[in-house]
Amino acid sequence: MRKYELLFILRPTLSDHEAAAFIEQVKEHIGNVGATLTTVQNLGRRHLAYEIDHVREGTYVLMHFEGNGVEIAELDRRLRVSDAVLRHIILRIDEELKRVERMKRRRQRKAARRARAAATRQAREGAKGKAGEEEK
Amino acid sequence: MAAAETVNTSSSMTSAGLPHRVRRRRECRFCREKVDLIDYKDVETLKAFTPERGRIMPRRLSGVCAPHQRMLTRAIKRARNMALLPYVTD
Repeated sequence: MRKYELLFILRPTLSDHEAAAFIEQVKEHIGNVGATLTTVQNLGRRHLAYEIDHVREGTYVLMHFEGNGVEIAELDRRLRVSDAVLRHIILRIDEELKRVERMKRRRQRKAARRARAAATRQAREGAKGKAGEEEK
Repeated sequence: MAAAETVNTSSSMTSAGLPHRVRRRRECRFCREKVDLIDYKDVETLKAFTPERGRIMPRRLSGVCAPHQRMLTRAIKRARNMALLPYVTD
């Protein structure tokens, strides 16, 4: 299963009710094509960095879902065609997440190795120091 | 002895006779903070690398390493597309 992230901007002229209805529609579509939705987050109304379609605000909605890739085309098409959506982006994120995990694990291993090395060094030096004291 | 001294002084001077500025190479900010992923939604971070005009700051100014600069560039471009960052500012 591949992991995807979807972010879209809804037109600010939509009422809260209409916006909620549209989000529901998208959720339903994702479910219908056999993908599983993991998170839905309404990031709220934000000022746009530039004007799109003569509006300067939009409601950002973020979703995460898992699928096998075939459902993307239709979802993308619907979002593009919809009048309610100013912009949208669908990203495949599983490989990025895997890379992040790998980096994290590598760092942990490295830290563990370093800690072990430090411990043995300390033990060795401790023994040496004692031996030296005994000689005196 | 004298020759060695001359070599010494000339190496710490530029051709114009001005002393070189000693600049320590700092580690890339993202490496230091161990950032594995630069998110395009993290506008505050991205903004730090897009000065007034909204252009992407070059590596030679920011000191960011090549892998992180690639991530950063991609993130900034995605953010621009989603109207989180401006393409141009006047």
